[in-house]
Amino acid sequence: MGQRILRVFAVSAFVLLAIRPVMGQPADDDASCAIGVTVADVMEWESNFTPITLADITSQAATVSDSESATLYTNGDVDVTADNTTAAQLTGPDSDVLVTEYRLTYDGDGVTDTGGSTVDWTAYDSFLSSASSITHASGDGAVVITLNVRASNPTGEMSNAGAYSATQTLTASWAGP
Amino acid sequence: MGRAVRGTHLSAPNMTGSMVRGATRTRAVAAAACVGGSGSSRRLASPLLGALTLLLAVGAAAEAGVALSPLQQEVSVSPGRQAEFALTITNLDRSHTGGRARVRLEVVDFAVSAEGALSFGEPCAHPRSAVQWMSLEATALTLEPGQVRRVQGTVKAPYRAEGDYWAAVMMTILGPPRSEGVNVVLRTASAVFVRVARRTYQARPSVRDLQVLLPEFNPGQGPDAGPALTIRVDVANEGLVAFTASGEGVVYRDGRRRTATIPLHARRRRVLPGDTRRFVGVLPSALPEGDYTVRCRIRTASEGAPRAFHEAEFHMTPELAARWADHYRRSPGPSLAVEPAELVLEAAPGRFTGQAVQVANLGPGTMAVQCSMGEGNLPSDWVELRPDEFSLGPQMRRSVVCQLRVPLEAEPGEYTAALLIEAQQAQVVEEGTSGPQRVPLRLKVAK
Repeated sequence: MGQRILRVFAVSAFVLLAIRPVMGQPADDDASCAIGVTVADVMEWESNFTPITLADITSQAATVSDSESATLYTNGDVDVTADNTTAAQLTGPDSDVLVTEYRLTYDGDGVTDTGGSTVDWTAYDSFLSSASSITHASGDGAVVITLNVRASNPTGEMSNAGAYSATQTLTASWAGP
Repeated sequence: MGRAVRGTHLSAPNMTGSMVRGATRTRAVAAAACVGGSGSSRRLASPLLGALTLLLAVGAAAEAGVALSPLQQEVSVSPGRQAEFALTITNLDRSHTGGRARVRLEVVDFAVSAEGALSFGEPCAHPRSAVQWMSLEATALTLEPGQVRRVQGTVKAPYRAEGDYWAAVMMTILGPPRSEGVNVVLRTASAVFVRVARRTYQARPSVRDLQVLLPEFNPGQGPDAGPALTIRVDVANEGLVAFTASGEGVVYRDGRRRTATIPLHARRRRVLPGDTRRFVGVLPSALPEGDYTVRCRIRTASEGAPRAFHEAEFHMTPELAARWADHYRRSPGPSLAVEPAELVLEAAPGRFTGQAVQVANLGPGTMAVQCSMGEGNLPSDWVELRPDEFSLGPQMRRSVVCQLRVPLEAEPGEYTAALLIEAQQAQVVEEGTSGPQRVPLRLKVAK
């Protein structure tokens, strides 16, 4: 009996000695944590366009134009389309209209800098009907987009005198697949 | 806001015109009275000027820009159930105006034309519209400078729905209303592709039409846009799920001799159910006279999906062949261009790094491009190339993102590999093929 007690005591002592380092204060150890992040596709207009104001048209043959710019930040390719409805046509007194054309340019060509090809003067109802492609260049996350507007009287006609206005909507959307 | 705001006026060269100009002058005079003036009016001018400046500042601040992410996402939902998606909208206040940004969010339909052009609006204009199933927790937001807002969206799929459906969330940046000149409204669209998964679906491509356009000779054609044989292939999706298609036209002479290969290109290769997409192949290399058959093969990225084939015949007259041969000048240099020539990256274990490579087709024909990783001690499963397969039209370019994830257990040191970019150009068989372009990749893993 005494030997059995002695044996149990010895085993218990051995177990306690064995687990002591575990139960005691743990030693300092390096902790590591893997941090991963996936950058999603993002598109950002830096600010709204300032409204484009045109000079007065003072003769039948006169053509006036002006432009404004806005910066688009992107980390991928982008398509830009425009509104081709009559909202984009300069309309004035008694719903009289002016010949309204638009042009789009970028500060980059899509080769060395983010950008694309110039879309030359096009009538409002077909401007960017086929989207303009902005190609993203590595290391350049911004493109300055300049929208030009040109107004004139219809050929052989004289529009009513007064103020004319229009609203052009530019939509940036995903490109591909 | 530094510019004077003027209306867009049409001034007839008569009295009406001077009346319009007179009105403009009246505004200018009124402004001068506020700023200048004399005596008590000058004392009033200072607070008035301050208030005016504040108003102008508030006006400018109200036009802060906004970022939207992601631009496209896929949502899976079971029939009769609902699923969530999210958009992140941020006012980064990059122009430091300290202004709020106001945006409107709406769920709109979109359609993709045969040429790959997107059009928005016309609600429920197609039978696979998800507009009526989708809702957003907020449709009007005002974001303070630096504020990030996550907007939750919900898709509730009807019991009878099956396959792919789609809609877009349109974000419109709101500005102060203007009554004169041309106002420009800015929008950003984010696509939501919804899959109602009832079972496993198989892509079902079919070729609806194949047209062969023989070379035309225009006097104004430059060296990059000379006469070329063009094939147009209309690929239809007759299934319930979208697929991403690619393919080529193989030209056989006298019914059996393989003469040329023409990779097919489309602006958007994802063909939605019920849609038709036009793929175009352009062959600038001159073909000799004879009877030809062009056989188009369309495949999809889906595993095990059937391929679609279509054939058309055409004849090259001796006159046309001779004229084409006279005009054809083989490009002196390679049509494939890759920038940069080398990738040098650095990352710690457990981190991501990456860089975009721009791939350009400088030639006058279409091109199919495949990207892969070549030899080296850099494990291939650390690298992801997006996209690894695509097509380019003449004079087009595209970015390929080379993304690396260094495992936590990676040993510090230098790893090397090569990014291989292989192009299949539209050309006759005799012109041969060139090997892949090799972009060396060096990755330094820091401790």
